[in-house]
Amino acid sequence: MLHVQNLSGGYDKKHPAVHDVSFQVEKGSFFALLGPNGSGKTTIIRLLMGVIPISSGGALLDGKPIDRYSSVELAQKVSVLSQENQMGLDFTVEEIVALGRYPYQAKRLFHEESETDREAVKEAMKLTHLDSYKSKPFISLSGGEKQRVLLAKALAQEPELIILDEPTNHLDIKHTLEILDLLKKLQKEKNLTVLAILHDLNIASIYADALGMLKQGKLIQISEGFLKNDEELLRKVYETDLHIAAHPEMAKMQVSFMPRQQITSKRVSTSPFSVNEEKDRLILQFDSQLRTLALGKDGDGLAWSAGMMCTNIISNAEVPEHYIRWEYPESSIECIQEDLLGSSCILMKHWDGAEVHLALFTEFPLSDIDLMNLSISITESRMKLYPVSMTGRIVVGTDRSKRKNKTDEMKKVFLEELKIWVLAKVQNLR
Amino acid sequence: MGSLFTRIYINNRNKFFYFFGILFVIFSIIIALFLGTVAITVPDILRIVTEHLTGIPLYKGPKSTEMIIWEIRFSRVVLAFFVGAALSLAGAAFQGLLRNPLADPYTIGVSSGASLGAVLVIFFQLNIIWLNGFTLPVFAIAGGGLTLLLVFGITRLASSTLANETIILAGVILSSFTGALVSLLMALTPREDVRQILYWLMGSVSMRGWEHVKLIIPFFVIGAVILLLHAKELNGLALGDQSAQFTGINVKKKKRLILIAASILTGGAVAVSGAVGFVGLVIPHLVRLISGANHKHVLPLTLFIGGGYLVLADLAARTIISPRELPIGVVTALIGAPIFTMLLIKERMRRGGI
Repeated sequence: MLHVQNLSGGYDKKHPAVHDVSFQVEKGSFFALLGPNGSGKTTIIRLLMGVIPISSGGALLDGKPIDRYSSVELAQKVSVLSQENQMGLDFTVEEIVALGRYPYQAKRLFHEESETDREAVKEAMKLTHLDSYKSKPFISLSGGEKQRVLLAKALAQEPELIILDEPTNHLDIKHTLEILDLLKKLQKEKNLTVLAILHDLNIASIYADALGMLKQGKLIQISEGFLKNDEELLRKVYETDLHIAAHPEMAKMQVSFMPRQQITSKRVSTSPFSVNEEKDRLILQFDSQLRTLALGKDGDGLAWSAGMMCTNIISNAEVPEHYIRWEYPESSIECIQEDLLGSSCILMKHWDGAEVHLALFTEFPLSDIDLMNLSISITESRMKLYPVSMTGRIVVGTDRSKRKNKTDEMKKVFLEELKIWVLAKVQNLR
Repeated sequence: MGSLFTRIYINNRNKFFYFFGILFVIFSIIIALFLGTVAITVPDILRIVTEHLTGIPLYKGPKSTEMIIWEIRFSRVVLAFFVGAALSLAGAAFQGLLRNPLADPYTIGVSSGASLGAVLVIFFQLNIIWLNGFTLPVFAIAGGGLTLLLVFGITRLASSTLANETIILAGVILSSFTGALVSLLMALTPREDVRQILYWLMGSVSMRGWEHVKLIIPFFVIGAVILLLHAKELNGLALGDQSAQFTGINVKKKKRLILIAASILTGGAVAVSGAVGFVGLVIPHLVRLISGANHKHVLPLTLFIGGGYLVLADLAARTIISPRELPIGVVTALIGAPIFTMLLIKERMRRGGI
């Protein structure tokens, strides 16, 4: 549908804001342009739509150079929902949506409205749920409603390609998803092609079929979606620490951002763990929340935990929020704390004859995968020391708040040490 | 029941407005014909007017009465209508095009240019014989046209896209410059002749006759037809130049065409009547308060309301301190300002202060 080839241009001819950009938007697909502010996203749209002159390269729309189209011809194929919208005059919602019919009326002598025009306006307003807004003044609407009206105007143009410049700017998540869901629906049902500038990487990842990443006017990557490997690229582009992980419910990747200002614990202590024994309970408190993996009966899986409380079932004690609950008599719990390669580690065991429950926490920063592997190696250790049929809960935790520069090499060595230590200690505690 | 009525009202609202607008024009023209320093009976007036419009000889009274009604009063009323309609229409177009509620037919300097042309004629006592007594209006139109060209030239050099701000700035610069030239000429004019220039500048439709009506009609028809055909473009431009471009409007070309048409209207009006103020600024706002912003309705309605309004204003100008006359520009503002203020407050209150 749209083939952009080596497109360059911008306001400043000596330093074009967009440099040698090439990409293709297939018919019926959703292409998202991403990139930080000032990376040239909006400039690409302005170049395509002929608002600013192209200095070199160009774009083909259905095989014909886009600058050969007359304004009316172009508007019949492509509609744009831009960020700049001034509205000094007091138009009603319907009048604004009807402006989208201009390209079809321009050739008629008196620009009169036809039945098709009225139908298209009605249809666009129905799609955007604006039926009841018909004669309301545009200026009295909220930001989300205004955006919907402008989208309706763009749809009334009956475009084959719709270009959106941050269509969900200033919108809350409900309205954002509403607009994008509608576009997705039109993409499916009417084979509408969408080219959108999106700011939210996660929204783009969910909705777009292809992602184009811009940095300083250059298109540095086109992909079908984010991969774990894109972390480095995204960090460079956005100059922000971030992590890519799978969406919990969809086969799409999501990006999580890290604050540059480390959020550290207010308390200063030498040990990340403190053990308090009270009359009927044993409380293990973490200095800052630990990333934990709890497996076995009542296990919560991956979570963030502030501590662990071991107490009798009969004690009926209140477990504080973000605490892992271990309902075992505190008297039977064995606990050992030791420094391993400079990182504090704590191992807890409870054996009631039928089951062996083990908990291991370490100060060393580990990834979720490491935690899972660690839990496997603990299970294996237990199988070596106890009958194979012996079950029980496994809890592992790691402190990610102190992100000391640990290399992969150091981690490998530490994990090996840890496994040996665990095997030895589980045996000892027996 | 109430909602049914509201629906019928909304569906037919614009028809109602057009009906009212045309009625207003007819009403103002009839009143303006009947009232005057010389009392003439109503049947006589009707006979004279029908005789001239249809060619059927009906009137058998004295020739002088016929002269007063047809040559002096009726021509004056018709001229006032065209001037008012032209200025209001041009004002609506300028406000819509430049997206500026303060814009009026004089914003982009065309009228100042026309005034300079006219003042030059008065100052040098020019009388070009083959122009047949129309030396002044022709010079005025030439001055206006020249100013428009200069505005385009300056805008073109300053920005490649005909940006509104640049157009307004170029207009303001040229207005000031030509205004200064007019002042200079006035300073150099002997005292007894200054009054003539001053009166021309304030605007008037008195002592003009059918020749001037014939002069303004071609300008009016061309300008009005072009503007009325560009209602959709003016609507589109209200969302901003870029947005208009995206909906398929050839912004540069259409903008230029609308500016030229509005300037033709302004130039024509100023050439025959001088710079009559207030009408072009306020009538479009007044119409928008009632009909909404859609130019499809705003443009024809301003034409009617503006024309009728100036007919009434002229009537007031010649009757209030009769037999002397007030400058029409003074009357338009003195009567119009309070009416407009009242409507504005009422409308804003109705809408809850948006």
